[in-house]
Amino acid sequence: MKSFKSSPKKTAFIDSLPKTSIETSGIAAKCKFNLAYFDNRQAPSQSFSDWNEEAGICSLDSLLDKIKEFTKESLSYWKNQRSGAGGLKVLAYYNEFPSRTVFVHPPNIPHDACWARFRLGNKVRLIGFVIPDKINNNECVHKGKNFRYDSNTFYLVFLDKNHTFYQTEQA
Amino acid sequence: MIKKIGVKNFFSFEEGMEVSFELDKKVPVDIRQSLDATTVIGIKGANGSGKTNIIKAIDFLSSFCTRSAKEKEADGINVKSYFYNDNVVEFYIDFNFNEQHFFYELEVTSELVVREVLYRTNSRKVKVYERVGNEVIDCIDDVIELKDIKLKSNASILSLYDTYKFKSKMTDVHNAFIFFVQMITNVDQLGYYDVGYDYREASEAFNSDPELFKFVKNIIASADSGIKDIEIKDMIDSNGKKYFYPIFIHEHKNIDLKLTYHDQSSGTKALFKKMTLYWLVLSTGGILAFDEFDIHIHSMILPLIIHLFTNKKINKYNAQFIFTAHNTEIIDTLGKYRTILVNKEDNASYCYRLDEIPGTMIRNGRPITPLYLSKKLGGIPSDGLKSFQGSLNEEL
Repeated sequence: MKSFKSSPKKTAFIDSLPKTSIETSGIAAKCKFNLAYFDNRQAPSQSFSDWNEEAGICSLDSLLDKIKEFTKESLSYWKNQRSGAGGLKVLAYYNEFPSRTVFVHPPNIPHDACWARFRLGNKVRLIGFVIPDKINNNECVHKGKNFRYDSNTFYLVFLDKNHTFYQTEQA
Repeated sequence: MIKKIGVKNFFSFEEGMEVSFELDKKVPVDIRQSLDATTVIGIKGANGSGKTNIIKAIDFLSSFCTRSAKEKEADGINVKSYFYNDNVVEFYIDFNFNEQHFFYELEVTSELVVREVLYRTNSRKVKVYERVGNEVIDCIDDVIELKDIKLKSNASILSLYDTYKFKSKMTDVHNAFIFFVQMITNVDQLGYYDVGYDYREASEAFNSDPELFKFVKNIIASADSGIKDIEIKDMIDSNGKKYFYPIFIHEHKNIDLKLTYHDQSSGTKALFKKMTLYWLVLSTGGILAFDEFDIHIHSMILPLIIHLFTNKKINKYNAQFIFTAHNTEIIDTLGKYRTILVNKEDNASYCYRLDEIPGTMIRNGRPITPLYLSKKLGGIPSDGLKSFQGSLNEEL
């Protein structure tokens, strides 16, 4: 029996329409990366230009690809994922700025930030911080406008290709 | 009830298109109402998108399956292919009638019937008859008489039911014929016309059917709060013939003021003339296919009319209402399972029911109008309007 349920024009049009909306896309759970506190002035760290000259996992291309993958999920998700032969967590929270480190605490970073790192592979780390869970979603007013703290954002501070930020970490 | 209807190479529909009334188990219970097909479908699209052609398809099938046997063979078939090409125009309609399920297929040109098939598809598919050209090449024993009839090249077998004296019952042919008889449209192959009873005919119908009259009065009073009551009067015309006419009672400062039909608004007149058709369809379980059904009717009355068909207590026989409308808010009344949008690309139309759009852009219980107005769903005039405005400004 005949059926004209599908036709090329109809199918092409329907396929071109958005399939999701903000509410149902899971976008709220996807973590964010913020570069406002990025700091390449300390000798042990590297700049984006440095990484632009690198190859492999320390290359800028690779970093952006990794960030693309990381931002598909929440920070809590990555805290529970392991990578590499040693089985280290992809994301680990140090909480305090480490005492055994060759870095110094940048003065513009809030004293009560929760320090953390993403492991890109081998000794390569992204060092940064997150908003502590205890104030997640709290309202704050900045320049007369209301905002909310978001502990699902990773504030990148240092590129650390030699694992010199947190020197007691195993593997 | 229509389950689905499809056409190809018909007016602006070059590619095949299907309008489905079917509702599956995923459809919310309040919409499905334990039926497997909706009783209401609304069609929206830009001017010239081709939405009227869907109503024309229903009109064509109704007319062809009930009246074509009365046409002269030399007159051919009044069907329009896409830009008058020579290919066959194809139709199918899947429907229930008298607790029987049928599937009817038709292929025609403007001159002759190429193929016509009626299936009965209850628990298993039975081909009631298949006709190719002027010959019935296959049929069940119940309609074996068809093989002995000299068929007209421009007429459907179904339409013979009204003109040919069959010896046997021809139950399936009869059922299908009556299904097509019970369709009312306000378009023909040339387009829209103002269907409805003359106000005197309507008055006569109301005078003889108190239940119908009460129904119409309720609708009109809901639409025009100034009307307190309607009375049907009669008079003798110059030929000595009795005719009926309405008197509309309007109340002002506790005094009843009487006005004639001609004093009423266009909206009240439209309702007075057309509500009889709604009543006819509702009382028989037929199909009402109206182009631009919102002409002369305020947007807040439209949901009331739709309610006539979605309320099972009123629509006891599962009558169906398919319409085109320019009113936009009606989409929210209908929801995604009962709204068809029509688009046109490269001068060829296509259509889709809103629940065919996958994903979560359209969600149950959420208004659809904002999505429609922001052009996210199609079926809306293109930016050509801006060009038109621009050309006006240039002229000025």
